[in-house]
Amino acid sequence: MLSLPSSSALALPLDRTDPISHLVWRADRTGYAVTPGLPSGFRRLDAELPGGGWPPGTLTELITRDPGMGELRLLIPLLRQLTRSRRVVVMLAPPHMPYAPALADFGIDLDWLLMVQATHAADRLWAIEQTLRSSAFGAMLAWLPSDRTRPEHLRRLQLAAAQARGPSFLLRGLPAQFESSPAPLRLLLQPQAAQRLAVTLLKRRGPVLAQPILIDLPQPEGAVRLREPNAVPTAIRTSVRTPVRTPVRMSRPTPDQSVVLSTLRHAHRPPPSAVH
Amino acid sequence: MWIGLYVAPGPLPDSLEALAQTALQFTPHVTIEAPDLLLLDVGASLQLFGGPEKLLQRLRTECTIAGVATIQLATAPNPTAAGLLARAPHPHVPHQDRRADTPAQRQAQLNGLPVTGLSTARPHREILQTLGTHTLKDLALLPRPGVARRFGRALLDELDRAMGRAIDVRIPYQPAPVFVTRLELPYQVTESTALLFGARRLLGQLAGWLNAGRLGTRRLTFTAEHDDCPPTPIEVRLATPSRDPDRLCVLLRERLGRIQLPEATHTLGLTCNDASPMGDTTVDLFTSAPPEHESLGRLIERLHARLGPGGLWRVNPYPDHRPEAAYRIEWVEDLTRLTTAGMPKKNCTTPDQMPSKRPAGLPRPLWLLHTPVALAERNTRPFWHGPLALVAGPERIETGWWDGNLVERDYFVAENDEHILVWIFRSRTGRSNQRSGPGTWYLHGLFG
Repeated sequence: MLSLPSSSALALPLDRTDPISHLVWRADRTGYAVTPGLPSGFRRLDAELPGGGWPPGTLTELITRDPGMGELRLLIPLLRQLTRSRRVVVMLAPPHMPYAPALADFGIDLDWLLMVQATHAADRLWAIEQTLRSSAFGAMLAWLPSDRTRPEHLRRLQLAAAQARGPSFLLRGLPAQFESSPAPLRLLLQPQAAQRLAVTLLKRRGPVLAQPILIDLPQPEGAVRLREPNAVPTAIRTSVRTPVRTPVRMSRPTPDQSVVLSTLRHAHRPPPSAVH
Repeated sequence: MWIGLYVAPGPLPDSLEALAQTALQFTPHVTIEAPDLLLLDVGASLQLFGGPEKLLQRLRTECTIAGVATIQLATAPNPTAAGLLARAPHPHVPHQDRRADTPAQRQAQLNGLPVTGLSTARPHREILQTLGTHTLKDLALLPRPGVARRFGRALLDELDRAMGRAIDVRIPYQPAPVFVTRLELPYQVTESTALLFGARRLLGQLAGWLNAGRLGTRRLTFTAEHDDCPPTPIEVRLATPSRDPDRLCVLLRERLGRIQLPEATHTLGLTCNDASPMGDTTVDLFTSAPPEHESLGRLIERLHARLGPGGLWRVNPYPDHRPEAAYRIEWVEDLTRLTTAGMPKKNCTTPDQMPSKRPAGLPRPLWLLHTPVALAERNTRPFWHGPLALVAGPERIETGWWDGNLVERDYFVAENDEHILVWIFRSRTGRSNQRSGPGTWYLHGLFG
């Protein structure tokens, strides 16, 4: 006698017991990637990123008002990990000079950090596309020319990035957050007090995250701890009296220097005329 | 298997040798049969190039690029037959390749050829015609002792070689040990990008020459010759040795896009300055992506070709207390110094006394401004996108008196209302050429 299959086997394939249920992505869940992401170094951020880290093979947009608002320190753990495992990190058209002593302090192997200078916007877009297509890099950071970037450029770049094996970051200005973009992951970065960075996920494969993620930006090893802007004045006074030592001709601050400092701390006090 | 390549008499006398160099891409055994024939022993190349059809197709393409349009190709198991078939026009379809891959096909094809195709038969053309011997088949049917007595042993020997009944040996063409070649352009060229057409022809020749010696090149120099100006050199550099004409061509195209010719060019020369022995690339059974270091080298050479020598660089720390002198830019100029890992080798500019760790001090910013920006001062506080609050410092840097760039500054880490961390300094002296004197605040870095 022919036996009918049991009712559980006939259930919808979205059933949890079904072996293919993990292959179906539901919109209320954070998406996952076929290739897992590279850990960003921040546990709270990794938890919210699809794939558990920076996704390889796609574009990731980092949007800041100006360059230098925390985007590079956000990527420091990734860069350190990649350069130490001898993978090349390409920085395309950086807006300022990447400062070698600071990068070295963060433990980045500078032999594996390659800068590409492209003054013309057309050259820069060409260089970004060539780099993405070559798939030879561990990570790519590209600063887009804001006035010359059109959506079709981004679509081309996204297609090119699909062949890449490392994460690719496009660093863009604030107006970009209101433009549509084919990049599957878009992050808005805003600096916060006490060396924190508020990361707002504008777009990801997964549910909308209303709250920005607060992460503590990494600080270089061996550097003095930064104090709070509203620290106790006595602490400042001592630090002024015993300045940080550098071996070459390090003289004590002149008396008028400490006067300036104390006036800066107590801005309500009228400045003494001796300062200038 | 042999390919006969018949070239219709062209305007340039040296084109046959140039074509022989191009043909060296496909086989090391190329023979020049003056005045109009090349013979290629391709028996060992068929597998590599994907069969006779594909090989013939590529040969035609290369000939078109080389500027030889009117060619005729034929295949045969032996060189004499291949030459005879290539010189004889196809009976039905003009410019159709004659294919005689097996001895039986060769026999059938040769039977119909005119007897005057044999070079030894040409002096006796009239007598042979009177005898009614028009085709090779007719000649083969004549009694051999009689033919030998009347026309000489040489005619029989040639016939035997063609039919595959005698040993058929050719001495391969030996290319010159140095590659220097020139090409007179068919018209004057003023646009640099228009040189690509002629350059591609030279690159095909170069590829053949390199292939014959199992060599690869990392540096080529094209010279565009002008009437009145000194010639313009166009150099192409590669990260790894190569003899692939298409790869060289891509780099040359990027290079030409950046070059402005001073005046019209009539001749293009190509010199290969740097050829080194190069192994062959192994073809994978499953086509996989090239290894990372190799594609990185390709990327670097492509970026280098378009962006120029100032387009690629790295930074290294340098032991100097002045922030603007505490790093060195290392231009990636010499692509021949790339390591096997694909990245440029370390330049030995860093002295030995470079400490592994920077002496303790204030943290350094990740971004340094190229020139410090003078900041306004409001209520005695420096101002940059809002008033700045000092969070660390000062660190006094007072050095550089020995080379005229004296720096006397007090550095602070500061934060503005938007919590952006910056690196600022207060100059203790003002240089006479600066509009601002001592006590001015400057922004010098962003912590990023």
